[in-house]
Amino acid sequence: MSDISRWIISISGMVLIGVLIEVVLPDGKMSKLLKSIVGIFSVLIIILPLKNFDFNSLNFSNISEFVIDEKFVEERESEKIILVEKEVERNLELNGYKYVSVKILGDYSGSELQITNVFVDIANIVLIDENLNIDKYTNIMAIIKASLNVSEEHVIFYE
Amino acid sequence: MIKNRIIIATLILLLSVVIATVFLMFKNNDEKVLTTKNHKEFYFETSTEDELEENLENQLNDIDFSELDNILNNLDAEKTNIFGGSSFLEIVTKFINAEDSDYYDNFLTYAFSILFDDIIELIPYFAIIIAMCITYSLISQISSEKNKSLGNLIHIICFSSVAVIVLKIVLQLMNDVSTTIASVESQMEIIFPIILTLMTAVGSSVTASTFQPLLVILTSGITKLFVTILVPIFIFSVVFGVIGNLSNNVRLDKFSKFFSSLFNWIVGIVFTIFIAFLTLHGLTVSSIDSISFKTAKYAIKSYVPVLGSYLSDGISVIIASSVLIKNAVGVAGLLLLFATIFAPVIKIVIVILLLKLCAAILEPLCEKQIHEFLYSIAKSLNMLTVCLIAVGLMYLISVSLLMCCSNIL
Repeated sequence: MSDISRWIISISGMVLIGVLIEVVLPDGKMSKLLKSIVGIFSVLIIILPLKNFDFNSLNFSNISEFVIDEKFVEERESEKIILVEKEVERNLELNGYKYVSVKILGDYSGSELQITNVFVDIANIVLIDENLNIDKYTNIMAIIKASLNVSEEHVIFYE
Repeated sequence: MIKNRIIIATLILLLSVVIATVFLMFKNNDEKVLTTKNHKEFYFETSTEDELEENLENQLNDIDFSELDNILNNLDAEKTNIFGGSSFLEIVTKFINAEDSDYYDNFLTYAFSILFDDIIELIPYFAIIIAMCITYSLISQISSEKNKSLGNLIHIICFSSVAVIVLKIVLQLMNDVSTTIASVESQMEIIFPIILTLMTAVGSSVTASTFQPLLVILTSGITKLFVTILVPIFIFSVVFGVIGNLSNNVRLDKFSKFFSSLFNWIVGIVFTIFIAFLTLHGLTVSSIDSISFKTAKYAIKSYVPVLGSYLSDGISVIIASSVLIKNAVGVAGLLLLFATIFAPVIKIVIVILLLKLCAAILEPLCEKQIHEFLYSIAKSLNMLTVCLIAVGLMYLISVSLLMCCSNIL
């Protein structure tokens, strides 16, 4: 900004000199000559600073990107995953497997849930009488597979 | 014959009975279906509403509005009154709940108040200019015949005095514009990440990542271009407007026209390119996320029959909350933008009109140079208005596009 003000002041100064000449000197050849000289100098003063202009100061490459709140996004993802887990647990309960805890490891950043692994905790499982003589692993696996559309190798049981 | 008639009558009767039975069967089925459906809808409506409210509250608490609150607190009391709330969260919540507010009444009151305040503030300056020029006109009528040099000297003194008053107003406006652009830039720096975060949370990561570079260019690049190049061009235009009219010998008004033309070209090119890219991206990218979301929703419903329906409803509630917040933040941001740029734009417009009015009044009274100077300054001031409106418009279009995108439900 200081360069600009210096430039403006020098142009104004030159023009004021021209005005002074016009006021002080009587009309004649000398006056005309001086006015032309002032005109030439004014144009030079206007043009010359342009060669010193630093075009690198207009560098827009150091623009920083916006920071997306990853924590917020992760919380929404985990909310969706928790919703899925609860629905699977509810589905298991409806089929007679109470207190089975389901944990899903996956990515819900897109529109689809990409499941890496499903951890099924059956430590606190309570079975209804009908299910007592049935292989619970096979049945739970079948329910989870039907609920989440995952293959068996991604479902891990632990007690 | 009678036998035939009896057979036909019996057949018609049988047919009527069958039709009636079938009709009643379907009617009963329909009633059953409708009853369950209604019950289900009732169940979903009440539970979904609660879920939605809970989700909205959770998500709103997770967003940091403190920087926007700072901007809001730095605004004048008159501007803050437009929103009808002291915190940004409060304003966003009002928009989400579609609560009745007196935004328009408040805005009109604010607009009229600044309009009259500005006119009252500026009228004395222009009254002084007119008075000075009338005095100069009277003096020059007396002195011009006797002494030309004295006449020139009086002209320069009068012109310089008018120029000082006008330049004081112009410098004040220029500072206002620079401050306003900086304020809009900081608003963009806060609002855009919030909207992009909400878009990513919704699942529109493709749209968010596509828009991000353009929005960064707008926030950092284009606003920087306006402040570092276009505002100085305005200064040059004003300076050459003053100098060009100061003396008959050194004519520099073509430089003023050159800078004016340069300004128009730069603004035109930047605005056109930015809007073209933004609109094209908006049109193409927004549909990608929408289609992929609808495909996933369909897939979850069809492949996972029982669970899928509940799941897609539950997830829709989470997404709906984010979309509602995103749009409310966008609208509140735009209202904040209007509150920020409205006052300086109105002030510049008033100054332009008063300068033109002054030039018109002084045309029959003074020399050509003074009223042409006033008119050239008025024309140059259009650049400042264009600066503000262009930045505001680019921000408005960007936010509006972001609001239209990712409404994928």
